[in-house]
Amino acid sequence: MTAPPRHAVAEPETRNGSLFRTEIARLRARRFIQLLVGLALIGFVVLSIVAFTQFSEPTPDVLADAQARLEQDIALSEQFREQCLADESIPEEEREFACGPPLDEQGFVVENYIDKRPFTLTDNLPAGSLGVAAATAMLGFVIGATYVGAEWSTRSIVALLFWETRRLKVIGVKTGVAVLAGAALGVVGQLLWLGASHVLVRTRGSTTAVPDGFWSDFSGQAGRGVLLAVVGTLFGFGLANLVRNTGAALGVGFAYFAIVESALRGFVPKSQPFLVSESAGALVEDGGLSLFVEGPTVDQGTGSFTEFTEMIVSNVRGGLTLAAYLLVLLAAGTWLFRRRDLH
Amino acid sequence: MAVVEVTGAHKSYHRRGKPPQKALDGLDLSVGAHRVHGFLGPNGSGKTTTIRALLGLVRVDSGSMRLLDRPVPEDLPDVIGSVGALVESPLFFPNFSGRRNLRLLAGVAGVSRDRVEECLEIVGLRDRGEDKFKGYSLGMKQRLGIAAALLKEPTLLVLDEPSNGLDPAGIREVRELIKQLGSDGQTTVLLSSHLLSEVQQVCDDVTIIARGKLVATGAVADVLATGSTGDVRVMVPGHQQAAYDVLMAAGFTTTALADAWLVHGVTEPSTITRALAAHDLYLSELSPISADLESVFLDLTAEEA
Repeated sequence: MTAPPRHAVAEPETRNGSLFRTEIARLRARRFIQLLVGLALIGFVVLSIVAFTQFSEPTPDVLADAQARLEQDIALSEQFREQCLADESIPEEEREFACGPPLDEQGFVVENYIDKRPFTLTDNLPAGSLGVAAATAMLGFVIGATYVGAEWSTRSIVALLFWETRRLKVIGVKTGVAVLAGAALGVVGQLLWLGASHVLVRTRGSTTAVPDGFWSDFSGQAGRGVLLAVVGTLFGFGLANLVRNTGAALGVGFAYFAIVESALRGFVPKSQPFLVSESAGALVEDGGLSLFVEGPTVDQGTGSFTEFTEMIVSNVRGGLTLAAYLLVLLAAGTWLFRRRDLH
Repeated sequence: MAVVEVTGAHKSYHRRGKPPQKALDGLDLSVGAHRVHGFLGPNGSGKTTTIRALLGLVRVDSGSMRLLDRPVPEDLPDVIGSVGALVESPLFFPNFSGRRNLRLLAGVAGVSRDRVEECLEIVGLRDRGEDKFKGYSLGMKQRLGIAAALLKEPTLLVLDEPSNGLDPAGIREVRELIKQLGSDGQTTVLLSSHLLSEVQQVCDDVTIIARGKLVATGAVADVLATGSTGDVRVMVPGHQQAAYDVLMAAGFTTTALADAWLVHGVTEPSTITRALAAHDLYLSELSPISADLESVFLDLTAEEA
């Protein structure tokens, strides 16, 4: 070792360091995170290619074939209905109900006879956006967990406290970086999907005009999708900070979604509006999430049946439920981080 | 001004189902400016707990602490920019290079990249700066930890067992570095070590603790003096018996060694010289038998135990 030179470097109080910039650099430099993002991009490309093969503008031949099959089905159904109405074994007053409504009410649609439909913005863009929101939320969960979990595993968070001793500031900045990472993930995911949809609609889609208000509704949903990616990242971050280990956080997450939620749906159906998955769906889906909640069992003499009540969980309610869980999780982790001795 | 001041610090660790474990039991510690201060104690005596408490990682139950004349942990954010620390094993991201690990830390405090290179140079890691931390040997990891502690050009450098894992050449280099830092007139070094020889070689002052309490403190020479035996080895070639007679007549208690006499209870060795010279007996050796730090340490900590 050589003698340490002493020279004019900035005095501690005049140094202009940035924990935030450093944390961003640390997050971006993590190889596991780079790997996750890379895999997600590859997955997106593969799914886009698969989607490309699943849609197509029908040719006149395909349409003619579909129309022929539709008419054949209508004829068969009409024939069945006429036979049914003429069946003496069915009491007359029950025949109309047993044989079904007239054909014009049954809604035969030619599109149902086409194997590959064209990609339409109205149907496919919002549905894909929901999928992207769910995927980025899950990816964000893992990234959030590994971001802080690795710091606990290597105890480099302790080394960091030799440089910035204000624990609240440290955890606050890290939370801010997790929010930023989740938001970036969500925005990039939604933009990529929008771009892919643009390609799909041009090459494999229908150019039918979208209804009024479509883009504002879609923007709202995509925005809430970004919010869900942030929520997912914060859940992973909060959980890993609480249990101080990435693997344990992922394990807890898996156990919750695979076991706890399934059990609650089965044994305590009324808990559904409060579950994380349902709340996430409610947050993102346009108009909220429609749930059928099991009611009391009714017996009207013809046998017992269970009544189901439709319940709409609104965007706001879904978001507030998730926010409440996040608040508890992050507050508990922060409190422990502030209070506990670190070794 | 004391750079580090700990007064009456108490700390107990509470573990579920077990009685509380006292780590600090009214510990006092005072480290003077621009000195190398050894912090010595058996395993579990509270050295690392004290250092962690000073750096805000552990909260003491009672007592007061000051760093660079400011109360901590309250004012720690204001003084941490002047404190470099290596506590136990270095803590870095294993998949990042040594250079990147240092740059990330430097970024927090606005330390320049040039300083990062300088610190890598100081610890002899500049050529290996791009290697991943996980690929470093134990000694290289320790060097990187020292480099991180030096980044801020600290006025107080806290080193907890810095020689861990280093080879003999590395240990010597670290000791030289500590000596240089201690003599530059700007840096105070608090060196926690279980290596008594290290403390004896490197430190100006020493504090010995046991079971979370102060046992002895002061300049290394003074602490050694507390263990002084008062014995002096005397050699008068060819006149050993005559010398014995003179010393006995002068009132000294003496024990025979193979080729010398061991004179006991000597407060001033010159009295021996004078007594012998008066009888034309001249010494070839007059060696006060001084205690080494190891024996002083063992005596002091055994008393406390």
